[in-house]
Amino acid sequence: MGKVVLEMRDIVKRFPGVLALNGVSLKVYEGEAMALLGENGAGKSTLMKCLTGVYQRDEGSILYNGREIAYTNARQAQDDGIAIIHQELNLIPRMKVYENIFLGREVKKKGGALDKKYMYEKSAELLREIRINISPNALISSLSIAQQQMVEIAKALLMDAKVIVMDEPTDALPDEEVESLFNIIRELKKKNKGIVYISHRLNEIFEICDRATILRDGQFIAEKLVSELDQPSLISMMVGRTLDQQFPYEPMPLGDVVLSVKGLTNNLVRDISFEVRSGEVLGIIGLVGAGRTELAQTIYGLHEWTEGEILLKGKPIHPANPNQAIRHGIYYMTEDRKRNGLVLIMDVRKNISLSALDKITTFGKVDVKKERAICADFIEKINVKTPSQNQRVRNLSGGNQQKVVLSKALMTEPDVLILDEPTRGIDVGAKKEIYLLINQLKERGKAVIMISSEMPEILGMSDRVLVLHEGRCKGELSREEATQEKIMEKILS
Amino acid sequence: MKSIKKAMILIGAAGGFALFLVSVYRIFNAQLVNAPSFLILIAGIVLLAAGIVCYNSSVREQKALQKQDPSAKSAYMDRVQSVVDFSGRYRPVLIMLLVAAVFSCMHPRFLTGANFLNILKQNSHYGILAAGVCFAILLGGIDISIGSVLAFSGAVAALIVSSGGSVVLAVVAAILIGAAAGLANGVFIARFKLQPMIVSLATMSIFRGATLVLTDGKSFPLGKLPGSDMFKAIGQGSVGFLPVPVLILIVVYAAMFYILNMTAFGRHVYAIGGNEEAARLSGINVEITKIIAHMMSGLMAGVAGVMVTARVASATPTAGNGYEMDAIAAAVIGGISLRGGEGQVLFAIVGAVIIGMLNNILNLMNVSSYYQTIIKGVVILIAVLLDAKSKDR
Ligand SMILES: Nc1ncnc2c1ncn2[C@@H]1O[C@H](COP(=O)(O)OP(=O)(O)OP(=O)(O)O)[C@@H](O)[C@H]1O
Ligand SMILES: [Mg+2]
Repeated sequence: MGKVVLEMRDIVKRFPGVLALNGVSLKVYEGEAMALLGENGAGKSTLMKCLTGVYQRDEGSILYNGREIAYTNARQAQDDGIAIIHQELNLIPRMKVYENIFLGREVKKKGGALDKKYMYEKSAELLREIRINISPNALISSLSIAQQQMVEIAKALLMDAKVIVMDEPTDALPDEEVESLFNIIRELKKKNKGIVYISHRLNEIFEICDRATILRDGQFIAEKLVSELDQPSLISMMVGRTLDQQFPYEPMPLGDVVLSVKGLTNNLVRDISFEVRSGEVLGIIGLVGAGRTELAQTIYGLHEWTEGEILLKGKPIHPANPNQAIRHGIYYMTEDRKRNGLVLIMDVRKNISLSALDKITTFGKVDVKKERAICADFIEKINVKTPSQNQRVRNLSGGNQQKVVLSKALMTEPDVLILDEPTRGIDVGAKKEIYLLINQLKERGKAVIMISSEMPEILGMSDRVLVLHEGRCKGELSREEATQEKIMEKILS
Repeated sequence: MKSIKKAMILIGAAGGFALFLVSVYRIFNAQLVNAPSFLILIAGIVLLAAGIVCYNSSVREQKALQKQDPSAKSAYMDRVQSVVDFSGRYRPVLIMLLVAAVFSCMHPRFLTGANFLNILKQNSHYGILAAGVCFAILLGGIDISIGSVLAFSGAVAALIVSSGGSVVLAVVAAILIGAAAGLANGVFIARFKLQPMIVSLATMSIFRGATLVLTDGKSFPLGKLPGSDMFKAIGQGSVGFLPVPVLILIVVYAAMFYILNMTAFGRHVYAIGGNEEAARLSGINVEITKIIAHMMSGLMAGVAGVMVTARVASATPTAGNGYEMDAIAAAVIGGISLRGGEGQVLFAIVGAVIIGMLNNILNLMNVSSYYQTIIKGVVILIAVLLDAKSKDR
């Protein structure tokens, strides 16, 4: 059994209107991975930010290597050997790998010039240590997200971190790259590092973590050995109740074809054809770079196309921008909430109504009363945890931000709704609420296109599955036919 | 209810204390033992008392809550935080009150109703320019052509009036020219995706040149035609006790407040300033919104052009020179963030009044205008610094 390197005791953290942490404790053991689990807004990220000095705790103590610590910024924590790998990576895309690893800690020769040779070789060594095959000279922008994460980990190693925190590292990671991250984590454990691992994908916990700390509503619930846990008991500790069946799929009578795409081609996708009917969920699946997002964005008017056609209820359309696509009744919910999904400095209410303002506007004037009522409804339905509608979205937890993006999409009530990674970063309980909402859309005769990297979600909720690979259609499977093996078979064919 | 209480605590504390100081000063200054002084004293005491009462009651409430349990404690923290939030949100107003109080102590004639109206009147065109430039700033851009546009549209109006054209025609022409200038800015910025700073730098030069051409480099008076008196009234007349420029100011701010806070267009402006990509994906027509916003900026420059020309009863080639700086400064002092997407247009006028008061007190104290320019620069730096410090994004 590992020794405790870090212990957080009875941490309390308040924000205006929110008691984010109410006496939370966490231990990190040497050579072990500690899972930190809880619903959206439970306080996981806040706890880690209190550790690394991004926020200052209001009460409680943190013992690290036997001494009390209180950092005032993340740099101090790093220098002390506590590294955090955020979900939003902090690398500079147009710089090289080794330059990023040494960013802010550049090694200089005597004359003041940079010692590039040393930095290059040290970076190569660090990357070798965790068995990654990336050239220190590669540009960050040419790397996949997983590879970028690995560069971050190499950076942590350079600083000789003893504790490495990973906040939803697999959130934007395709399945096939998760395994390589896990290999690195295993390497790190062998090096006796203490790891804190935050994720909403529970199967990962059983695969990689040794212990789990569970939070609920800012409160400490339990610390357990993972070997003593199973999924249902974990979920009930997280959400405070048991969940039956994760995917509440319900078949609906299919209506007419709403959207049909024929031979759509541009520089991102080639010769794509498919149809969606009202009352149907079409799942789109593929590996990274399969062109799923690109396809959706092309239909939404974000990329140009010249060949093929898009028919909406039989009529050809050619939206030149999202504004026109929305007028045709197509809405696309983005996968990248921070970059192009939310106006972070605006409040929850204004974000939710942003796409559907014309529904609540008469003669240019926004009917705020109506707006409030509609937003209150969404907040309640999918359980957005926020002190009020006037809270800035920036202050919400990651999963709750995602729920705001989803509410925004739902409020437009489109005929065709394209959801790109709709449940990214969302906890198990809320996921189910979202699936139920998708069912309601089906019931009301809407067509839903769902893009997801999570195979179980696609298999669990789709009526039909479209398989893409490298910008091309590789075939279609009905719900009955679709299995993980069949899909991989199609991709590789 | 809760927000009213917050308002009372703060206005009570800041305003009451400020007024109290003022009245004490005035009463001890023998010449000013008059009715207004006593009115101010009473107002100050009332506000102060109200503030103390509210503060007390919330302290008592909070003590009752403080039962060593973190959630009760956090209710107390919330209250403290809400006071901090409130003063953060209304900071420009509080600063204005404070500045007014300090200046009143510095000069006996500063705090009189007449002087205050005078400050408003003298700075009304800055206020109007600031309201317009808010649109550009909220988008995350800037418009530095407004000073030149003001000069050109004012010159055209003067030309029309002095050659016997109707006053309505002159006003409409000036406003349309302003809007057209804004349209040009907007098209280059939104359609051709050029930097707002560079685009408006170019149009600034173009319109300054056009003004020089039109006026032949000399100022020319409105003339003695019957229309000219009517035109002059726009800058010099008054309705009851309200000077016409102040009236225009009020109308313009009411309209801008409505547009930015109540309409979908206003929401779109804020959204684009906050995150342009997200705004586009949300279905907002970014291009058109930006163009219209820049037109608003130009249009306000046209209105200000009419006011300035009417006030001095002539068109001058250098009119409005450097006004863009005062307008942008007013907006920034009023808390409108240069990073876009944040700020309240009503506070632009507060910013303009703060700058106006500064100029006024310096004039009253006979400080040379050269120093005034330096002091203004320092104030702007402080305001930008506060903006950068307070809301880290
Ligand atoms: N800067 C802030 N200002 C105000 N409230 C905040 C701030 N940061 C976090 N909160 C609130 O604190 C609570 C905990 O948030 P936190 O981000 O820690 O959740 P989380 O467990 O990481 O959730 P998720 O799984 O969604 O990422 C949330 O209710 C959130 O709204
Ligand atoms: Mg989080």
